[in-house]
Amino acid sequence: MWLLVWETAFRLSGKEPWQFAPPSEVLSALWAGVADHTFLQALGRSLGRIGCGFGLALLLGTGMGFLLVHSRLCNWLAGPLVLGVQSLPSICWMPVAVLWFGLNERAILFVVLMGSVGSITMATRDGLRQIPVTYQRVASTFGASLTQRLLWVSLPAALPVFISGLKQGWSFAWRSLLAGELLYAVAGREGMGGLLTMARDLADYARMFAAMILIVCVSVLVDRVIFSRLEQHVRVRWGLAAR
Amino acid sequence: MTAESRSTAFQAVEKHGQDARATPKVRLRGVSKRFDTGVGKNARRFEAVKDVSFEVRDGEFLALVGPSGCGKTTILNLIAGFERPDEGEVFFEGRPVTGAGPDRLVIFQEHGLFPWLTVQRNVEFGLRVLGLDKHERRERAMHYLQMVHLTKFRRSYPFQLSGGMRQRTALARALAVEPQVLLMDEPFASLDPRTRDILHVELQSLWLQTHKTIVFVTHSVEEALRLSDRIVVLASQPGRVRHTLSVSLPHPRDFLDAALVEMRANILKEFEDELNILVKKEGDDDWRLEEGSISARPPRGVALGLGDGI
Repeated sequence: MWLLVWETAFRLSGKEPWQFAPPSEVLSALWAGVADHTFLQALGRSLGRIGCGFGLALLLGTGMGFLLVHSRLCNWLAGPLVLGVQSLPSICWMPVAVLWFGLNERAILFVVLMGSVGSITMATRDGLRQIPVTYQRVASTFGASLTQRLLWVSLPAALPVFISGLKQGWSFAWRSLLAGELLYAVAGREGMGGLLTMARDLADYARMFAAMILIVCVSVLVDRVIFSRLEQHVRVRWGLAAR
Repeated sequence: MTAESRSTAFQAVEKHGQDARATPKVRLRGVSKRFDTGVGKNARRFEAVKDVSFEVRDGEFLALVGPSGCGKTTILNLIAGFERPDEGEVFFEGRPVTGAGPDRLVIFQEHGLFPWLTVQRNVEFGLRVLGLDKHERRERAMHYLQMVHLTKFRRSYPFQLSGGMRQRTALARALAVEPQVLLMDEPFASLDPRTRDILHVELQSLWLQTHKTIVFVTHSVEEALRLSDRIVVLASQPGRVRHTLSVSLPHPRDFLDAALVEMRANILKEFEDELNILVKKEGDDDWRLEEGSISARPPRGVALGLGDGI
């Protein structure tokens, strides 16, 4: 349906295909990209990077969230800092990253990390803070130790808020990754962002739009298939939402 | 219940009464507790409980009754070890209470089940904390689930259960760790009257089976009279003990019993003064409750709608 609107708009605009690519050309570019494996390879590289960066952010963010809740000193020292850093668009870290790591993989990982670690830290913190007093008291009355309380009560009780934060963190990570890859595009090792830059440099607009469509599809897929499902499952189980 | 089990029940109560004199299970001596409320300019100290002393005997079913704001939940939290008294001391089996523990297990009004665990895993929670192995945990959980008639629902999650079923699960979870004392904080307050009736019967039979010492907090005089051996009647602002009375009638109790009707009327008469204070605070100055409007006895032959009046 939207493809039709798009095609009609192209016909009516009277522009040349190199100015405003029609869907027919974009789709064939998409097919060509998939067929010669360049798109899938780029996608694989991008997903690998986000996997690393996001995984690192998950470890760091969860740890930091715990510290913010359980140590008053940490909260006083780092609380405002995390909030401030989170308000900075992560691509602003790119110059610093290039300075520290050079224009390479590690710089991109760093940007992805900085993009999502704030959300995950905040989600962990908020998740732990909203645990009802009753759960804590149940743990106390049964005589649970600190570790037992953490693993069996605090973690699961924080999960619904934590997962919502994870979802947000992932979308930040994905944006940071693409921004990073746009700047760091090396032939042979380009991710989805790199693909866009290359296509622009070669004035291959159909290919550019094709890459964009792929990016959107991947974001929607990950959100729908992984995070939204997980979120809904947990919310139902935790008694927060109707089935 | 048959006439026979009725008389055994009665004997059980008698027997407990005798053991009791030796060492009180729980003892409060001159306990006071204050809380800070409000912030900034509105900050003030609020005296929740003032100079409260009483004992709970071994195997006894003791009810703490009082109007809202009389500090009954605070007293329960002090016994549980969630709060420390500002003055006085709380003893459990002769030793001062220093913190919470599974020997004084609390059952909360909002059941406090973990929503991410099945009924069975919830009941096993305390046993996991104690470090029991999987086989033992399962066996004990099933035993207590049977006691509350919930084995069929052992794989359900709390969100799939009714309020009464949740509270029964909480009861099984508490009993599974075999505590010395059960501390129940208005456990049936949010249930509908019929469900509450069922749980009253259930709790009495559990108590007769397990001989646990129970401290039961409620604002319902009817509930206290139906369940307990002894009632500590509290007054509010500050929370203090008004007096203590024994209810030495066999279980299960008949609410047409003249003695119970009499006791109910007497306690409610006392609360009428308190309610008038509340009415003054929450309404116009000329609003007053008519004498006997709340404590009046029901006409002869009319059963007290137990639960409905709560």
